[in-house]
Amino acid sequence: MGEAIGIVAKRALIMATADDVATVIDPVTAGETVSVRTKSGETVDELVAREDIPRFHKICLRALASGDLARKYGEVIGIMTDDVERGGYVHIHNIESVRTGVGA
Amino acid sequence: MRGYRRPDGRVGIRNHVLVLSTCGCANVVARRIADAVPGAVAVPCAKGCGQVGSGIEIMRRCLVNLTLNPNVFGTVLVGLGCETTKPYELAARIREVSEKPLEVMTIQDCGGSERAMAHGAELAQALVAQAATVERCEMGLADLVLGTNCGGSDATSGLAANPAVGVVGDAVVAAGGTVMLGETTELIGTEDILAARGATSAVSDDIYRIVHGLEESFAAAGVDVRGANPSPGNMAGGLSTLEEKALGGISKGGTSPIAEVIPYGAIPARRGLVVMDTPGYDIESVSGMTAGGAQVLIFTTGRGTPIGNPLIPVIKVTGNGETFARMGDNMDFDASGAIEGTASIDELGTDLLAMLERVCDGEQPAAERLGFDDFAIYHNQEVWCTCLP
Repeated sequence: MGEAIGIVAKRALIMATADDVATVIDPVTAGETVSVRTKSGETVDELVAREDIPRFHKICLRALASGDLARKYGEVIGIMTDDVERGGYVHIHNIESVRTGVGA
Repeated sequence: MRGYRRPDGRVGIRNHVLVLSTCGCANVVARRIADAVPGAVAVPCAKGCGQVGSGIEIMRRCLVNLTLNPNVFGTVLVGLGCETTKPYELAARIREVSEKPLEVMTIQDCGGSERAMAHGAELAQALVAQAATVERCEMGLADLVLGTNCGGSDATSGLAANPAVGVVGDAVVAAGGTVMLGETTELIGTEDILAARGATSAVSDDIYRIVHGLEESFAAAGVDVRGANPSPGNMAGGLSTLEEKALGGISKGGTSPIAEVIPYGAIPARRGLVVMDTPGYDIESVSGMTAGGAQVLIFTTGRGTPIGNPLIPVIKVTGNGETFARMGDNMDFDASGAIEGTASIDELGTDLLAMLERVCDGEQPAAERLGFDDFAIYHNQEVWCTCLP
């Protein structure tokens, strides 16, 4: 389950089922297989990383377009500023805060 | 679990005699009284005199409510005698809302610190003897008010430690108990999400009120909280947006609806998940929840911190295995299994709940064992000494 042939898959955590991104808990190199587990420990997805992703940074689980809202913890964590494919790296170069509150 | 039933029906998990200073001038005397009497614990007061504005009422509310904390059997109030928060008036206010044993004394009435310490020790000793006669009763999670706090966070906090505490919080709320989520500074960016979880529209309004009110205070001081978060260190750790950082923080409250939003140091009127308006400074936040009646608190930390509290056990949880090893003296629960892949968050939550129940039953977490009794009531207004650089 969740392992590429001969290689132990790199691991990622998904915090809620509706999430668009998962957090990799091993450093990931482009081309490596990433196995995605839930809070209960169940493996729910397996995908190939398209880019290098540092430990504790996010991998994209489904294609997102610029302007899409991205979810983690089952909630919106920001709005995409660029298109990202499944397996891509989501961070400050392609997502930003949905600014609300005082001065929004 | 077995606890101590109080006259108001609430149940304590400890049976302390509180020696409560009502003014900074009485702090040392109060501490020496408690030091002389096993079973007594001192709580200091940084102010009590020379205060202005709403800070006075915040402090008095906290002093009154500390005596009501279920872990307190009874209290000796120790004042100086000439301070603006008059100890005998405070005692009268406490007696209006509490049937617990209460003694009050001032250092000036006693005729100096030596006599005050001797008199205070006699009063505290008599209360300790009474406290020993309280029979323990059966209690459950429904009797619990669980405080939560995070400090010295790192990338593992929002991934392992906080979600594991959230599992515990959901179990406490499901059983009919209460969980406190605080640190309003950490809620900025999640106000829409929390407001959507409000049990009533009034609760949602209160969420916006505390978050926007705080943000306006920051703005008035020239600080752009949203612009400053996540910090460069947070970003290097993988956090991309303020919402992501804040969601990791509030995950320690679990997923329950928000039953109520209460002021700093206030006692919740409702059960369930309650938001208390506390500052981001850990010791003040934990102290406010203690005044609000939390009997125990779970504290998540990535980098590790020793802080405790004089009245309630503080359980330290880290998702960083290295911190658990390096700061072993101060850590209680290792949630790094979620990072290492050896345990799921749900499994960790189940183990942490078991530890919480053992602590309620008497097991001492590190900070309590070490006697770390950090305490500070939040003060919101200072008027003097602000003109010269």
